[in-house]
Amino acid sequence: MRPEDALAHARRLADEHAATTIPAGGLEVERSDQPSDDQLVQWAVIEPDLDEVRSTRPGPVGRAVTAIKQGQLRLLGQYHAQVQSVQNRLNVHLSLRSTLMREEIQAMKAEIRFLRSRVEELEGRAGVVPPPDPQASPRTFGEPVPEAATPVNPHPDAPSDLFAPADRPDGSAR
Amino acid sequence: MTVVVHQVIGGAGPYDAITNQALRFRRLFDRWGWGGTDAAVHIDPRMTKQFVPMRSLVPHPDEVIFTQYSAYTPGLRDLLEDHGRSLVLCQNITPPEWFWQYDPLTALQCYLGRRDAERVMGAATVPAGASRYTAEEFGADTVIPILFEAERYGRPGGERSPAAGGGEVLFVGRLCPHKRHDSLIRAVALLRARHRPQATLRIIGEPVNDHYGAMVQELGERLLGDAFTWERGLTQDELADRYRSADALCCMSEHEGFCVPILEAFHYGLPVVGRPSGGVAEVAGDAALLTDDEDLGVVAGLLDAVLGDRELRSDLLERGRRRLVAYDETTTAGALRSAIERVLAA
Repeated sequence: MRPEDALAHARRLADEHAATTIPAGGLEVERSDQPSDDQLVQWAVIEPDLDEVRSTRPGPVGRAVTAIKQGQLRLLGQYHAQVQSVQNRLNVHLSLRSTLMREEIQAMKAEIRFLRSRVEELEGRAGVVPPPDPQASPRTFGEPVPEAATPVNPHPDAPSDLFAPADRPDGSAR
Repeated sequence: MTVVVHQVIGGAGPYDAITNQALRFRRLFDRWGWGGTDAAVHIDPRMTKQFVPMRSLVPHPDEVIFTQYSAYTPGLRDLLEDHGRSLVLCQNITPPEWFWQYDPLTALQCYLGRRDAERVMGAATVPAGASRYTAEEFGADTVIPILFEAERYGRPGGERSPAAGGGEVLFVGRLCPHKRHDSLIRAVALLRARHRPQATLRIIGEPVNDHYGAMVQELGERLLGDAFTWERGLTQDELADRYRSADALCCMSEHEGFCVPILEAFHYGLPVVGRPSGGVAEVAGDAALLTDDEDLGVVAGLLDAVLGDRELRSDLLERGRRRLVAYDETTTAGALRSAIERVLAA
């Protein structure tokens, strides 16, 4: 077989043997833009592996240095536990606060989306020409933001129910 | 006038690929009669004879700073922006999204490194990449490939005839999420289930952290049992022996700036199967069987083909030897010298 023909051959083989599978489960690598909130909380509680405290030197000298380091750790165990608990307290609070802030931001984004769509709907019904969106086109840094045109209502006598409350995303009618 | 080239790298360690390449570059500079110092931000205690701290480096305006950029390096950007003559060779930086779930500190380093790369490359007199792929990704037009010194790898492997129904698949590289050891293990499990029940997999490399290493090992043992071997901390001679005893190299990595193990496989006479990601397709050329098919059964089919088809194997090995000529040490040395001469002429 020529290398150029191998891929087509492998695809045929894969089709022929598609019924033969392997057990599911186990590590399946996934990409993510950022750590999840669960992970942040998990990492917030620091648990240093004290077995990792050792010498990088080989041989008897390394073993002796490792023993000294481990001995120091045991002597300072109570102090380290205290330091860790103080650090853990801060970490856990920060990670929880970041989770709460994320939830609040998501709720605010939903609210903004709702308000925008409501404004667009009202503008459409009133025939108002919306001003240009200053965020729509990229600007050079330092360039002043273009002044937004004042929306004009061409129908000043439009019925007042245009501004009647609509259903909010959370069901309330604030 | 004597040319003086100071090398700067982020971290200098005894088993670090960038460090070792910097030492080999220094030997080249010595051979050319060029002077200079090698500096690093973080220096392993075992490397203090070869490297000085970066902050102690005070280059004369006529001298050249040459840096291999592969991770966020505090202070490097300022050094380059203050100095007028520099060559930055970007070795690529893995996108952080591969690490957030598995090693957040590495993810942060990758994030900062990629964010800083634009300014680091922008501050260079001559920006370069280790492959065309990396050069394009990081806004450079010069390519200086990895220095591949064939003599460092010892004798090439002889011709192998994998046993009927068997064959050893090898992969060498850090156990990092983007290297996709999980896909590799599944592909070999399919190879065993469908074509070659005695096929085995050997992976060699240090894990990004112990937890990730344990997850890879658990998957390997669950799907392959005794046919799975993971080794780490091998010497160069031991690594050479593993290459010589394997029957094929399979690289399922989804992000590679260059991928040296492919050249190593060609050197030891192994056919290569894998993904055409990043610099892999460029380095392998027509000498490897690459597919981005999501169905891992296709990878299993390719492995079965290279293990069982003698004619295909010898064709691939011949093409691999030609790729080695393209990445001969003189190619890299010439590209490096030419780039530094451009810096001096600027």
